[in-house]
Amino acid sequence: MLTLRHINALRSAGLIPAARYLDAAAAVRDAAFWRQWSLRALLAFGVAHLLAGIVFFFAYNWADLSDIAKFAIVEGALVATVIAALLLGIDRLHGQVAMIGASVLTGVLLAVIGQVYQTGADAYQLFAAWTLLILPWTLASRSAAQWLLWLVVAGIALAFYGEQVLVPEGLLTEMEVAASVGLIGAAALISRELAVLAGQAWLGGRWTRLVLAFATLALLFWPAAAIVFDWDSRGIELICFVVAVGAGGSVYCRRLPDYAAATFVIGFAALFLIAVGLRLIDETVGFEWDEAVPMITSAGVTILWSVLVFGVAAKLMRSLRLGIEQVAP
Amino acid sequence: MIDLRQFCSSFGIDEAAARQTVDGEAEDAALAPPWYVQVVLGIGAWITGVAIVVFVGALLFLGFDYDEPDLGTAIIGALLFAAGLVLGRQRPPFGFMAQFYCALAAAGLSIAAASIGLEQRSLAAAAAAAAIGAFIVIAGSRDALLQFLASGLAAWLGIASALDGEVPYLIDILAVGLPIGASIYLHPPRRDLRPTATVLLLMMPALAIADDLWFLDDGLSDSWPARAIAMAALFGLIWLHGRRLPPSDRVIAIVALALLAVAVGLPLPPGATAALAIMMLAFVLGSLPLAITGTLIEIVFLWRFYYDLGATLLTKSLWLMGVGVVLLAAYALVLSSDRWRSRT
Repeated sequence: MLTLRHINALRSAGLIPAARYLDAAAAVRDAAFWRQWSLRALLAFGVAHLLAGIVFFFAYNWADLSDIAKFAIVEGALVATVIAALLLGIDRLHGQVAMIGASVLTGVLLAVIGQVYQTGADAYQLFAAWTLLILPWTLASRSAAQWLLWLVVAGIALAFYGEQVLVPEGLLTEMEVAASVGLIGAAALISRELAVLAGQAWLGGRWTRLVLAFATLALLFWPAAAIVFDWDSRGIELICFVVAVGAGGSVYCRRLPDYAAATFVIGFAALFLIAVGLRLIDETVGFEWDEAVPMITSAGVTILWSVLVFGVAAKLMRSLRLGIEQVAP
Repeated sequence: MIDLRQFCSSFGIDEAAARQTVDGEAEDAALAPPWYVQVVLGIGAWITGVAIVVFVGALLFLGFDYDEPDLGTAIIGALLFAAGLVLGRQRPPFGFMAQFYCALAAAGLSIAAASIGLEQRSLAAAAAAAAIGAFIVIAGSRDALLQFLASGLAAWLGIASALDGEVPYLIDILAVGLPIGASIYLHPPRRDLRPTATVLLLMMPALAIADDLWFLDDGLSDSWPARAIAMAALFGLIWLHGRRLPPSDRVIAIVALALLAVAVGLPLPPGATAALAIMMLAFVLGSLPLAITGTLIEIVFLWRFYYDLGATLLTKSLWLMGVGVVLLAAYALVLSSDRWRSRT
């Protein structure tokens, strides 16, 4: 089947004249795909414009509205979206979109409660309440996007709780809090894999695995890399990252072969090794701009180290590719 | 979808030659690693490239006691650029070493252009040097990323020079890049100029976003001539799409699309209309990367509209709600006409 890529190659080879390029591109254009794409773009931009307009309207009038009007508007919208979700069916796309709208409006309602009554609550309490209140809808929705929203809200709740309670009380460091948010992602990823193995097909979209794997590794990478440059730590972040890389590598190279997920693991591991190398070079030789020999040596060793790390990563990915791609769906 | 035999017969192309080209392309595609592998390898190659720049800088300024960049450093930059270009030509345009040579050439060109600019105390001289480098890349390399970076560097330095010289109507001048870039995409020369065309498409919205974020100068974000040029490019693309439709649908589709374009584009800055034009170009050609680029730029302009001081929040809210209703009505209309057609 011909694609635009082939048309470009034929044009470069001089087989299609420039004047007929557009006709050629139109001949191979997947009209059904682009019709669907344009419909989705219309829906997404329509909803985005409408919601942005509503937000702007309230931003303009908000101070002048009475408290009862504020609650009536937000709660009215909340009730309307819940009814819409029920009428449209929470197993169908439009119903799930309405349910996500209701979940977002729940957060808005909590913010309005905090604003009107000046409850003095910490931000983590708002997000924790939000997490709990939308949990039943999330459990009922069978929508991966709804679950993703719930995870983001839960992650923010934990991050605020850590920042506002655990860090001031000296129970955790800021980096340990960041790593614990990454662990939520890891827990969600494990749950996703178990649920799919148990036959929950609605979670089976590959994007759910890849989004969770990337987010987990990224959230665990930063605290681990940060302690490489600042040793003042109990090392929990480092253990979390190393375990995640080891487990992720083992699972996505062997048990549930997935080349993209395995590549994420290798990529973050390589970046971590670069960070370790930079720290070691800094400790042993130094990156002082006013001393010629150490600086030139350090820069040279950094080049060699990055070539070595990413060269090995490239070899590893190449050797994994054939085996994994043959097994993966 | 059409197969190669049908395609060749309808376009009068030699099927054997076309098959050879398509098979060669398929072999390249099979050898190329997936995009996420290329991202990982690219990050590694660029870290290495930055380390090389630091190494060369340390060698020059600490080892050879250079005080500031001059023609000597420009020559060293040019040598790195040439080395990256020549070594990169000998490899397929993917993988770690290809990315590394791309980074080497881009770093070399940046060093050479910056050195010339600093030595001459002129941004225009730096832009000219980068433009020469971009021409060399276009002529001598098939690395799309390197062409994009070299053209982008030349454009960026040229815009910086124009800002420094307080060139009037800069946003309007840059808006002309939009129809030129679109024309290159629609009537491509044999040598692949799409990366440079992408730079041309992005110049105006990129400058408008930069101005919006960092207040570079007055009147860079909004201008009626720039809006008119972007709108004309968008209408041209709508017409190109419309003329392929069946005669019964043609007029209605073109008018509806044009009205939607006006409704969405008019309240927002001209960069947003440029984003719509990029999305329309993607739709006409069937190019997903362009579609994603246009969508992201449109989202940025929608977000930044909140901070636009040209209208009150009430006016902006009414505009946005009106546009949202029109877009959703269009969505409902298309959906219901699809259902009606499938029933009949």
